[in-house]
Amino acid sequence: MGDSFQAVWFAAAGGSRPCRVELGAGSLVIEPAGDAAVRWPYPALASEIGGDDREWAFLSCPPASGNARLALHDPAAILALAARTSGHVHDDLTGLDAARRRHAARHRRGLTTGLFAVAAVAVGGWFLLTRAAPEIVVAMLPPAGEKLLGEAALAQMLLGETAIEAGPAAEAVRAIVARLAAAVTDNPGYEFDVRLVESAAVNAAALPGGKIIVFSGLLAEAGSPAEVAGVLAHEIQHVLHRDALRGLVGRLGGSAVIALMLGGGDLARIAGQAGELDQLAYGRDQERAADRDGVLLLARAGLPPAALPAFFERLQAQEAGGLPEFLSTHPDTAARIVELHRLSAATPVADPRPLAIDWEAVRASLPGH
Amino acid sequence: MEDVTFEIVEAGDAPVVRARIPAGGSLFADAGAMMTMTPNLTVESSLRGGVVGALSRSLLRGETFFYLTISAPQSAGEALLAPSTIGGIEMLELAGTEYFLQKGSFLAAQHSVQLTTKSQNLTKGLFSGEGFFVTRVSGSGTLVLNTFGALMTFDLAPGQEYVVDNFHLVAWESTISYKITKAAAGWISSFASGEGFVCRFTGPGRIYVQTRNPAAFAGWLSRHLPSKG
Repeated sequence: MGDSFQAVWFAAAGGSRPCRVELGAGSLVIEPAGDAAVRWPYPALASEIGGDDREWAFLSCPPASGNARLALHDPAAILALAARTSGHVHDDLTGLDAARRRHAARHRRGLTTGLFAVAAVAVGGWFLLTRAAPEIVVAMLPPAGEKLLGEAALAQMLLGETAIEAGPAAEAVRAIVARLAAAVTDNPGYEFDVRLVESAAVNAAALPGGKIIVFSGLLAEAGSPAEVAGVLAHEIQHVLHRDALRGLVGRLGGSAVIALMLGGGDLARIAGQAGELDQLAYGRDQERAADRDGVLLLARAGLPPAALPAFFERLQAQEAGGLPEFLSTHPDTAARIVELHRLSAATPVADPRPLAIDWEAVRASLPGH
Repeated sequence: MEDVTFEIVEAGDAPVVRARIPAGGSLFADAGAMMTMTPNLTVESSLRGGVVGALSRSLLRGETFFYLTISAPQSAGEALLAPSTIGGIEMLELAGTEYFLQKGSFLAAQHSVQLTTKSQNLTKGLFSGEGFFVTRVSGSGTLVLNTFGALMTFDLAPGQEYVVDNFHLVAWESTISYKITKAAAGWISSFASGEGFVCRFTGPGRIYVQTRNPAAFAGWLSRHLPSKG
C-alpha cells in the first residue's frame, strides 16, 4: 500500500471532481468520486505546471488520457510523486515545490508591506486626506506606498510592451543604473531598478519609489553610455526629489491615490494617468534642480557631466521638425543646454571611471537596427 | 449529525435560498442576507477571523465587516436568505477544489466551508477591479453565490484560453491561471472601447460569469439620477 492523497480530477469530457490518489509501487492509481479507478504507470506520465500562481501540477498519461488531467496541489503529494518519477516530470515537480516555498516567503513580505501601506494611509485619517492638498498626501505617503504606486505605474507601462531582459543592451542599462545608484548620497531607501523596453520612443522615465523605464529608442540615439547615464542621472534626481509622485498625486487628487491602494476607484482613469508618467512635464524649477543635481551625481559616479548637454545637442541637431519626446516635454531646451554646459565646466570629476561598455555592440543588438 | 441544506426557491428574476438548519447546526451568511426565519433560530453578527481578519476583509476587499451566523441551538429551523442584487443564485459543492470569489458574490455557506483572503500580485490587484486581495473559498460543503444578472459557466479544457471582462467575473477554480491584459492593442482604443482591462484565463477549470456588469449599471444609473442644485 503506497501513500495516498486528495487531488482534483478533470475527466476527458470536462468538469472537475475530487479524487483520491494512491502512489503505488509502479503506478499512480486515481479514484475519482463516483467513477472507475484509473491507473497511470510512472514512466508514462507527462506533466505541466499551471493554475493559480503556477502552484498546480497537472499530470496526464498521453496519448490515452486525452484531455483528462490529474491536478495536484498538496505539497506532500507533489514531493512524494517527485520521488517516484524521473526526468521532465521529476524536474517539474521539484521545481514547483521550490517555487512555492519562495512564493510563500515573498507573499508574506508583500502582505506585510501591503497591509502596512494600507494601514498607514487609513490610520492617517483618510477622510482628511481625501480633501487635502496633494502636498499633504505626498508628505504622508509612506515609502512603502510610494513604492507600490511606482510598481503599479511600471506594471501598467509594461503591459503590452516587449521588455528586453537579456543581452548587451539590458546589461548596459543595468550597469549604468548600478553605477549611478552607488553614487547617490542621502538615499531614503529607494531601490533603483531599471527595465528596458523595445520602443522607438527616445525617452526614459523614473517612477515613484525608484523604478526606471528606458525605451530602446533612447539607446539608439545616444552616442555613448555616458550620454545615457546623463539622462538617467537627471531622471534619478526626479525620483529623489519626489517630482513624479507629486505630479501623479496632483493629477489624480489624493482620494484617487487612496482608492487605488484600497482596491476600487476609477481604475481606468488612474491607470491611464500612471501610464503617462513618461509624458509628464515637470515645472521649470523641478527641471533645473534635476539638471543641477544630475550633474553632481554624474561627477560623483566618475562620469563626464558634459555628456548630458552633448546628448541634447545631438538630438536637437537631428530633429529638424519635431523634437523627440524627452526634449519636447522639457521646456526651454536651448537655455538648459547653455546652463548644463556651465554647470559641467564648474563640476570637476574627482575620480574619472569611464563605463566599460561596448556601445557599438549595444546598438547593434537593439531591435530594428 | 445532519448538515445545513440549501434550496433555491422562487427561481426567476429574484430567487432566494431556503436554508434548513438541523438542531445544533449553523450556517454563515453575508450581513443583510436574512430575509425571514423561524423564531427558534438565533442570529449573531460575527467577525469571522477575529478583528484583524475582519478589518483586513473590510478595508482590503470591500466586503461587509460582519458575517451573520444563523444557528438552531435547540430545534431545527428554517431561514430564507436574499441577496442585495437582482439576478441569480447558484450553489457550489466544494470537495477538494478551491475557488476564488469576486467580492460581493458571497451569499451563504455551511460552516465547514472556509473563506480566506489571498493577496494578488500587483498588476492583478490593481487592474482586476478586485483590489489587492481576493477571497479564496476552500474546504468542503455547500457555498451559495449570488450574481448580478444570470449566471453562466464555462469549462475550460487544459491549456484552453478564454477572455472575461473583470466586472462580469463571479468565481473561478484555482486550477486556472490568469493574467490581466489590455482589452485592445493600444491604450486609447482600450479605454475608448469601454473595456480597459480584461482577465485572460487558461484552463483546466471552471469559470462562473454574470451576465450584467455592476459598474456599468452604476454608471448608467448615475446618468439617469436627477442632479442636485
